[in-house]
Amino acid sequence: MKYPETDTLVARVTDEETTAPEMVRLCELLLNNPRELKKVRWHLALSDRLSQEMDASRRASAFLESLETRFHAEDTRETFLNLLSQNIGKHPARRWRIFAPLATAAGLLLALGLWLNRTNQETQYLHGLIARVESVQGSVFSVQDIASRRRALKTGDEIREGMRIETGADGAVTLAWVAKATTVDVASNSQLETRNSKLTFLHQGSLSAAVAPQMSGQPFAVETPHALATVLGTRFEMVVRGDAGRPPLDARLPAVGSAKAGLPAIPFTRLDVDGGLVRFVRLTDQKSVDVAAGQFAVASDNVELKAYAQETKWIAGRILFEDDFENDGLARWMADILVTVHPKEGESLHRVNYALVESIAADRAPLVSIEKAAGRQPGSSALAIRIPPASDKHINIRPPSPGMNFTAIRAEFDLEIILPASIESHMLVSERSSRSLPVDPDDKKLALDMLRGRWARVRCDYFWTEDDQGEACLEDRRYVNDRLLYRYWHYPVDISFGQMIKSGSMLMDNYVQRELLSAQSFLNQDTPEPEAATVGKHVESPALFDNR
Amino acid sequence: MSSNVTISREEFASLARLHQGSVRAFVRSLGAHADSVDDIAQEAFLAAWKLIERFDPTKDFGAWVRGIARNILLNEKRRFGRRTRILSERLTEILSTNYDEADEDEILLHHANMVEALRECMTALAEKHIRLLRSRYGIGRRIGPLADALGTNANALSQMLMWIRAKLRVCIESKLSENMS
Repeated sequence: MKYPETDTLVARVTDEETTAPEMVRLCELLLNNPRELKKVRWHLALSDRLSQEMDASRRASAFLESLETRFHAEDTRETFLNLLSQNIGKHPARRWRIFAPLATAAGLLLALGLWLNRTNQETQYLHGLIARVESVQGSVFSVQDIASRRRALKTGDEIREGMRIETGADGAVTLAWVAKATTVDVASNSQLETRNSKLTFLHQGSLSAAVAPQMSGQPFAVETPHALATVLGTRFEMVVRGDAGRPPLDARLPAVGSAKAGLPAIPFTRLDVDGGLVRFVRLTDQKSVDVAAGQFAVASDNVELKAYAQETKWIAGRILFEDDFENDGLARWMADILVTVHPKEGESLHRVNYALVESIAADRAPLVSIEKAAGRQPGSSALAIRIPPASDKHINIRPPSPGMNFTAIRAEFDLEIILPASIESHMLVSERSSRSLPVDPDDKKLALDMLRGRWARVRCDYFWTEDDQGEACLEDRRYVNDRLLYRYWHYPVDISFGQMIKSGSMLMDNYVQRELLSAQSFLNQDTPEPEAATVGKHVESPALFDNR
Repeated sequence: MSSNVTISREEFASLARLHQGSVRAFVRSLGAHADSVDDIAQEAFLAAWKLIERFDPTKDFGAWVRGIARNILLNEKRRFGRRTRILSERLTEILSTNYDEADEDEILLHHANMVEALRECMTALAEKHIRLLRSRYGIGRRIGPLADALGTNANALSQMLMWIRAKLRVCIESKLSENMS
């Protein structure tokens, strides 16, 4: 079906799907047609109203709560800046050097601001001399904020208060502070603003600084959209990625896959300290942590604010889950892992959530039954998740109950880990976490594959959809040796599954021992053996099954 | 932050609660990215608090904050590191400079009963359309994956959503016009 051009463009811009040429064309059309202009505004406004109505994270209460947090953050920042001003005021020589030029500059700016009819009071920058350019590489510009004039920086240039510095992809600049022997190296693709001699704002990119010892009560500070670092004399590095104030991505996180596979980046600021001590404040909640030499910290939503050792080796390797049979037997259960990757410069912060669900309906016999695996007692069920490189971390291991059937699953993730990182995981048991829909009448195939002592390759694809009642759910399709075996529907109301996964897929290799399988009545001996190409490659038992 | 003598912080909070919906919709209507709307709207409220002494209490607070939000959006292209908050500088410029607060459409867009009208009009939608709106605006699914899941193409789905919104618009305008008359 062919739609009118304007309608197509209005629909696409409302859905944020326009290409650059389409945007140009839409602007042309709008300029000549006020009616279409109103239409665009209505559709955009209405889409937002609908989002406010239907998206829980955008309800008025959430908006106002977030606004309140920002009010508090502004209060604290203002207090901090006032403190700096008061401390500077105790030293007459410094006060003259800074505030005399400020008065003139402020007056000029005020006049300019009136002329431009600005309403933004934050643009009243002060123009004291702060630093000089010590060295320049590639494209580096200073930018006058109000007039947006760019000027190439060269060695010896003066850096004044309120000045913004922008480095290109090939650019880098070293600034030497005039008051103290402090130097700041600004890396490529960075945007920096020198608010005053004590406060530098890093909008984007990264810098490293060697800060001369500061007088007590007069810390050197670097602020970012997410954090404030105050320094009394140290060497450190800060990296900023992403915009400030974006909503948390908890409901929009991707699920399984590579940490580098185009996942949305989460805004953050990372601080690395090479010497001395830095007080690192996260602006969203004003929590702070002291970061010492050899440590780093990350300010971002939902990432624990703490000092990590820079040489932290990530907890890579295998995580072993065991079912909680003492309470629920072969009930539905879920294990999930939250992998948080703390990036270095040039990398992106990702949180990758994995959730695994194994569900055995009450009216179905368990798929398999074996006596023992990995040296454990009968009646246990185990899931091992392997994340290379090998380095084992066992959690939540419970003593198994006797007399229960056993299912063993080994899941191996194809995950690229950027070191260092941290990992959180837990297991939940839920009676209502999912329901399954066998879609393949030959659903005994998995058991058959397992009977023959093979690894069966199981692929789980996750995506959001609606169930047969029209309810939003996360569908989990299980393919065994490339054949669709089950569809699971997971509902956000249960254990917040929807907050953990948006979409994704994972591969699992399943193995069970053959001895007890042969006792299962549902086996179809006539089912042909799967072709070699469809059988998982892990013919060797992993450590979990070492006494198979 | 600056304080004021005429409007307390509590009063300001009440006003913010009252007008947040229309300010956010307004920000979006000027071409802000959906993900940046709340950020910009909050920035407008923060700026409004700083400038509260300039506010004339006899005037419409919502319109005043929307004016601040408009300035923030127009300044986006002059600011660093925040260019991604708007869809297009040119689009925002066109949308920002070609509207009139006194225009009938504008009055309807920010009408106090807008939410009620929207809710009423949604009840008249078919269940499958509600489900589609929930997937798009409740869960926040993007057009491409949603179209794939529904077995249609992105363009057709986009048009379907536009058709639903247009239907809602007619209904809302009708209800609000009745209300105003």
